[in-house]
Amino acid sequence: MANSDLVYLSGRELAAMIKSKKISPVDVTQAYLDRITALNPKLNAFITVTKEQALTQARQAEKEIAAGKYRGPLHGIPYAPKDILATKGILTTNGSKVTADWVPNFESTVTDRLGKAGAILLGKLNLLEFAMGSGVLSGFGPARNPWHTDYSPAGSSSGSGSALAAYLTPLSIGTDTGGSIRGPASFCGIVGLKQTYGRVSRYGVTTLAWTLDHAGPMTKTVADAAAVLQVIAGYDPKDPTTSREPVPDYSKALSGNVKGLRIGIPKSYFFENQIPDSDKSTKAAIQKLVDMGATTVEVDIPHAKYATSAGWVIAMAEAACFHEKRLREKPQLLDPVVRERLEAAKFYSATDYIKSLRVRSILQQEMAKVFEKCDVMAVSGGGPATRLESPETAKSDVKPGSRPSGLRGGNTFIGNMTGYPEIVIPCGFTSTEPMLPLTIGFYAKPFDEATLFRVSHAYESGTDWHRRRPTLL
Amino acid sequence: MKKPNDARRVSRRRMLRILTAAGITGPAAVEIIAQARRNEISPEILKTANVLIDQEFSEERLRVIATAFQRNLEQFELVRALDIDDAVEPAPLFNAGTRW
Repeated sequence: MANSDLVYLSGRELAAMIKSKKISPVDVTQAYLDRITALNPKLNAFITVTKEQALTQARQAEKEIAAGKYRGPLHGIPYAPKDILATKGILTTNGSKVTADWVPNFESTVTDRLGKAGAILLGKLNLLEFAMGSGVLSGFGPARNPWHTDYSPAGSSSGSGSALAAYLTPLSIGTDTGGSIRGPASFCGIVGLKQTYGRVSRYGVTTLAWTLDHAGPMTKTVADAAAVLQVIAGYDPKDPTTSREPVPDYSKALSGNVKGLRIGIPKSYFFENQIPDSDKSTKAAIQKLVDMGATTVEVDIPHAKYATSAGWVIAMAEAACFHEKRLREKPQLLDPVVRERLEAAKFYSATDYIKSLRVRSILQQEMAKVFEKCDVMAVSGGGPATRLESPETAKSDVKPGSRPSGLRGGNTFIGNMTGYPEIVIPCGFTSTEPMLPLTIGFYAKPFDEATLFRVSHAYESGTDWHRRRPTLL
Repeated sequence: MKKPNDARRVSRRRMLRILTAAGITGPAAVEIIAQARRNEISPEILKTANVLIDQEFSEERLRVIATAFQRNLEQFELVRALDIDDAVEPAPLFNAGTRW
């Protein structure tokens, strides 16, 4: 195998070869750095590339492994987080001109744990400004979708989606406040996990909304998402909202067996407004799981349609509070749509916020009832990707002739509102040009990410969607 | 059947009392009430509300914000119109300590 082809291996495949010393972490890291050099100018996925540091870490990993000090499945494996996770001594821009020069003197818990597991930092990935901008007018310009560079990779973890789909990194960390891991996973055809709130520390992740934010794995395969979660999950005294719930061995869930698994199919909301290709793909994915031994059961979340509107109130009210000083002192440096959203949120009322928290209670109760009947709930993963906006339309949420979308956030916001985990995985492609990925999502009960890995890995193992490559690359 | 908007409509007299308490009187108060009852957010309304949020916005920004807020308001209507049982308390966040 040519070194340049190493990028097409999954993290798990790379780990096996690194552990057995068939390949060196230095060769793997160099292969990714070469590919970033070649393709990042087209995709704008990376804001910062930490080339020298990455090679130094790779040489260190090589020495350790040669000496028999293998740390585990991420040892010697490159990764790149969204540039909203603080990395000590390394530029952390939040995708914003406001913090374009920020070099933190502390490390986020997630990147700290990945570093201790031996993962190699390739650089920091582009995003929508402060995880909520337009993308197009965010501080470092738009990342582009490798399946068609005129198309959006979605956001706010836009660089993560783009880099993974283009094989610029095997592993990434995104953040998700209303769908910012799962949206890019959907548009770019990769795996995105928003785990249970409290499962992973938010320490060192720049806040969008305290009660909705999550940092989680974005990868090419389900097994890689499981390996990343294994390392980053668990209680952190620096984040009081993290849980002391034990972290199970997620690799045990990758059995390929879904016999007896109960899949909840929502009778309303979650499969509405799909395009025909998406409808066909998600139905086929569910049928495949049934053919493998799963069963289906009808479920319902009567208040699901309120999740996005209530979630938006909570997200923007908390964001306006968090960014109060920046909004007051440097509003002209913000992406116009970020400024507009934060300024408008200054006028939201306390009663709107608290009522939205009561909607959260209702949704949590309804989700709990759903999981009395099933092990996972299937939903449309969203997509396909849409064209990148023009700078003119990207500057405001108010677009000529548009109506506010009651589905802003689609099927994802309910996960942030309730804290329940969801994984999104590829399940097909559009039948017309340009060929764009389609995805399916699965929710599970809190702290049951293992079942999400079980069902999605079983499906993935019987398909090749995750192995297809964008033709332009 | 009760219309959702009726449930949250504040009387003109009560609204006047609230505005007076906030130091807003005369034609400005009348205009605010008229616009509020039309469910439209104008830059003038927000200019007055600046007092409440302790942040000054320029006329230009107020025009942008008013349009954006109006759009959001249409989203909020869904939540505002929802009748919630008195027993439902707010959930400030997902309680990671709860056993599920």
